[in-house]
Amino acid sequence: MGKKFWTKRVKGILAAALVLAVLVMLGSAVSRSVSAGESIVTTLLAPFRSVVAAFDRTAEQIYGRIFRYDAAIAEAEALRQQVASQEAAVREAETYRRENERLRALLGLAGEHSDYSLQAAYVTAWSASDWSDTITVDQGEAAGLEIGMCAITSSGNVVGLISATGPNWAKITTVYDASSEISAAVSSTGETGVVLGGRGENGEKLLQMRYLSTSAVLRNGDEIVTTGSVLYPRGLLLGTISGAELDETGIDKYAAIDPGFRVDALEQVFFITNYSKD
Amino acid sequence: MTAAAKRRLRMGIKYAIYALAVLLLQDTLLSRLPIAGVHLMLVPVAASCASMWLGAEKGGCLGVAMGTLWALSGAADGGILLLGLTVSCVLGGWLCDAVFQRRLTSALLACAITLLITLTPVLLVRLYLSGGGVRHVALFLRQILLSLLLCPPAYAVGKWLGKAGDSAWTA
Repeated sequence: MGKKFWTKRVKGILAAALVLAVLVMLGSAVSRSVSAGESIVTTLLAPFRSVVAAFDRTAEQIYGRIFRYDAAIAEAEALRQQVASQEAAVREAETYRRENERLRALLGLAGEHSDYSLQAAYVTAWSASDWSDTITVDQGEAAGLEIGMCAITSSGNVVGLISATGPNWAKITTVYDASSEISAAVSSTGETGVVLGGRGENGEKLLQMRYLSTSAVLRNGDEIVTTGSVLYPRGLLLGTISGAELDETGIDKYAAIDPGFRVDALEQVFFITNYSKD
Repeated sequence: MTAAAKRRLRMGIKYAIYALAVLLLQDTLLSRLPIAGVHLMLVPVAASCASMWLGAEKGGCLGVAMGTLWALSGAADGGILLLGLTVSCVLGGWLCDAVFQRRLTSALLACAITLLITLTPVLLVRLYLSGGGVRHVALFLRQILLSLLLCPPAYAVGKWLGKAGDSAWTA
């Protein structure tokens, strides 16, 4: 115990840390999205994050090629059989598609979501916190991104909303975040509810549709879509039902939702920068 | 510029690169791939392992710097993490100066203390804000235990940096 703990310098360092911590907390509480300091640091870090994320993706691809070759062969065989069995279904679907096109033309409708303007971006960082679920992408205000814009996957599934932006980065709060609440409907029945994010008992990410009436008819595989709001365009896919139960009150039902993507596997997302609100 | 100042500058750059590399690893690899449902926390472990070779004062400076960088890079609860990281780096550095020998076992203890000091306030704030309970505490403990797996490599890097820096910092 030779050395003194409470030296003048230690007191100074702790005081500086306290001041900085208060400034950081005040900065994030006062500013609408991010503080000036956070914006500068995140902007400077963005190129480094892009490089590391690109390395990470490449390493994973190489790992996949080396260690998952057998699995890929088996998967390819299974897919070949699946494709063969689905060819008939595709022919039938093609008939319906043409019919659908005719009906659309009849109604004067354009193709689905043709009003969307999209901006692509690569994911460069993931939130380390087990309490929130955010990702950072390599495009920002320079590409026309703004807070509140909706992010989707290449297959149209909702990923989340932009919660902060900088010149060359944007942070997305995903649908799994506990703060995420989206008005939604079961596309087949029209039952409405609210899709909430959260975590399960073992820390696994959960997406649930809550506040459904006990009489709601819910089938596994039914699609859940947005009902439309200031933030989310109408009809965006939130996922498919993977299970349903009565909630803890016994008054309402809830449905577990499979969003159709894994946040940790996301490489690229697309932002809806503009859409017709009609 | 004197030779001593040059050496100090060189060490400063080394620790800055260390902090940046640790932050990028945390943000990309470790945050993307949760293990057993939790994210491993490299930043507190790396700061703790480095500060045990630097002592209370310089370790505290490193804690402030890494904490500030982490908080401003968009970490949730950044202010709390910054303060916790600084306190634990000062404490870890002092313990390794005054009480423990600089060994892997001491590093494990210092890392455990750092993780507890850094993450417990976050847990308490979150429990206060959003409720929760035993399952959140279980996840928190799991996160701390699994994060200690990062201690041996962080200890090795911290030792290398500390030894390489001895002459520079004490000059």
